[in-house]
Amino acid sequence: MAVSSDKVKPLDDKPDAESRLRRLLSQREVQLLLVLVVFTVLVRAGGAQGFLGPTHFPIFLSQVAPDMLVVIPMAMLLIGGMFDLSVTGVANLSVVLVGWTFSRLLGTMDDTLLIILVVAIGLTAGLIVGAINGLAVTRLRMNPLMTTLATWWMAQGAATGVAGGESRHNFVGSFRDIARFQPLRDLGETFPFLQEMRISTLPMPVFYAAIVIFLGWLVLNRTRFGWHIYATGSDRRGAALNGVNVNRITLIGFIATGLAAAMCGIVWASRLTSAPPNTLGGLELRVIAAAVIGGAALTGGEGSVLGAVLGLFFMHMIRSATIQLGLPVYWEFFVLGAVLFTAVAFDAWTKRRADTQ
Amino acid sequence: MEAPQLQTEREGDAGVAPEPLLIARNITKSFGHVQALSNAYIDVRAGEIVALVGDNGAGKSTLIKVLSGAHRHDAGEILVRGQSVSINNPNDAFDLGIATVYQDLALLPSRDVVANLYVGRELTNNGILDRRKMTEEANRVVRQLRTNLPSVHTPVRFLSGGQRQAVAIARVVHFGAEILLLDEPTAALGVKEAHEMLTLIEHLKEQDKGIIVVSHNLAHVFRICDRITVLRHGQTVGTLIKEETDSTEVVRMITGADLL
Ligand SMILES: Nc1ncnc2c1ncn2[C@@H]1O[C@H](COP(=O)(O)OP(=O)(O)O)[C@@H](O)[C@H]1O
Ligand SMILES: [Mg+2]
Repeated sequence: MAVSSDKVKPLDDKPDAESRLRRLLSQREVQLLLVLVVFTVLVRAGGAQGFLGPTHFPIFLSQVAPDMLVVIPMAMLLIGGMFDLSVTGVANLSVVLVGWTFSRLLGTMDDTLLIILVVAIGLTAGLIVGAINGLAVTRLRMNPLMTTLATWWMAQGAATGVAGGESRHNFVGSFRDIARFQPLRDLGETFPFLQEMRISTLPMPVFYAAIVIFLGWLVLNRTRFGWHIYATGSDRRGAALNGVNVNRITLIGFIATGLAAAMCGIVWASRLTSAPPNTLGGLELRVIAAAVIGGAALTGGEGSVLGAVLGLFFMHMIRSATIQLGLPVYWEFFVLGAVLFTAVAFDAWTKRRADTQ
Repeated sequence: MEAPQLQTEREGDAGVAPEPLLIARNITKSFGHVQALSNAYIDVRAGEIVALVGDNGAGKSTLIKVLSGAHRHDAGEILVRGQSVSINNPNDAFDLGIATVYQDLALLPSRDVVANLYVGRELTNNGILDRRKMTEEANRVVRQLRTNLPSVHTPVRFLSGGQRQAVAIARVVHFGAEILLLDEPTAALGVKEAHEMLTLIEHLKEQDKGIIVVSHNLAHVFRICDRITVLRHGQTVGTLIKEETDSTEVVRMITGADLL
């Protein structure tokens, strides 16, 4: 600093090829992508030839899609230095409210109107729980871990309470379209390659997920709001001193996560046309683990949308592979846990190494 | 609050010291029972470095935070360019051209130099961040301060203490701050880096900034400052002109030895 100008090294606008490759390989998204490729090759070699092949891939995408709706806002929440355990409870509450509303109001109004009402009620539940989480953490300075654990139980309890032990199955038929409609089906008839690659059979949730991914990426990387999320998670006080409205960032983050969890519940209710209060299980751990594997730091300030997407792919690839390889499904959680452990250990190792340099 | 007396005939007063950029007087601030400031006074002119010294807990950081909008004072008056102002938050201070580099810098460790320079004031184009412009400007600012950084895309957590200080200062200078408040800028630095930091501060003085520096290190104080304001138990006990004093007198004033 402040050395004479001839000694100042030029800022490396044009790094050489080797350092560029090293920088590329040090990025979590690139590392994870390589892991996914190697994993796929190994699983295929291990006997599941169809793994992520043309038949499996579209099905795989539609299985990942509902979780994808939640992992994006969850990653953004983590980047902003917060996290939310309540998503499973919120999603189940939304499922049950959908079933309950249908059972009460079916036949009393126009079907389309009823579907809109049902979706609005489901989303409102997510909005309310998200707002409670956000206000509790920002205004009342409550601890996010305990707050969202409490609201998880309250939402889950409300779901079982409203369901009252009954399973509801009397849905408006066209409600299925929320999860089952295939928007590219007609296009597939005109362009046979879409049909061959089974792209024309992709159902709506894949497109919701694509929109959420794109919006998440756009907001996080290309808007002030996104940079303020990073700033808030990187150093909350420092960000506030520089005029970032950190409480607003946190509140909006919790609301977005609540809404996404509710949407996930609506998609599941539509897919199953059934509304038991235990429809979703382990959603919170799946999406938090996926975001962390994708490079999001629990301490905030780090992570990316692409990383979260790849992390969630990995979680679901492990699930699919366990089944396709005929391994006992009971070991699935062991493997998921081991992968998470490895990712966190790897993080700690790279941080330690960077600090001692 | 009574209207301040504006000095309107500055041009005619050749040879008279210019009107201070900033005057803070009778500043009072308490945290519950703790009276952190009870009657603090400080002023600074353009192109001047004023050192703010005092024992631990004397209220130096609190006075800086009052001026930068991080704390609201309970009573007292702040004049900026002769106008009485109220500074309720960091944005008010920013609008008045007052910028602060805190003891702990308030940098974002996981973010790169560009994001740190622009935090809270990101440039946008139709709502979309103008990343190219920000990167270009960051490169320009860093060169202008003759600061040596590996790249403006390096996360701040990989920078040395001195480099971080430089980023924090580059940030405020870039946004047109005329009054700089530096809280212990050399405290966390090694000998060589501290001297580079002092050179940077002198360089800022040449650019006609008004600078208030909090420091414990009297050698550093005497190297760069023009005047020394001494704070004790939240009160300003006096302001000394560097040429008219020495470190023993300053130490006596800091500790209050004369009064014992
Ligand atoms: N946020 C705060 N809350 C309560 N007391 C504080 C706070 N900030 C400072 N103080 C108290 O005010 C006094 C002055 O502190 P400070 O301005 O940090 O002193 P200095 O920077 O001169 O060492 C100290 O007694 C300190 O404990
Ligand atoms: Mg201090």
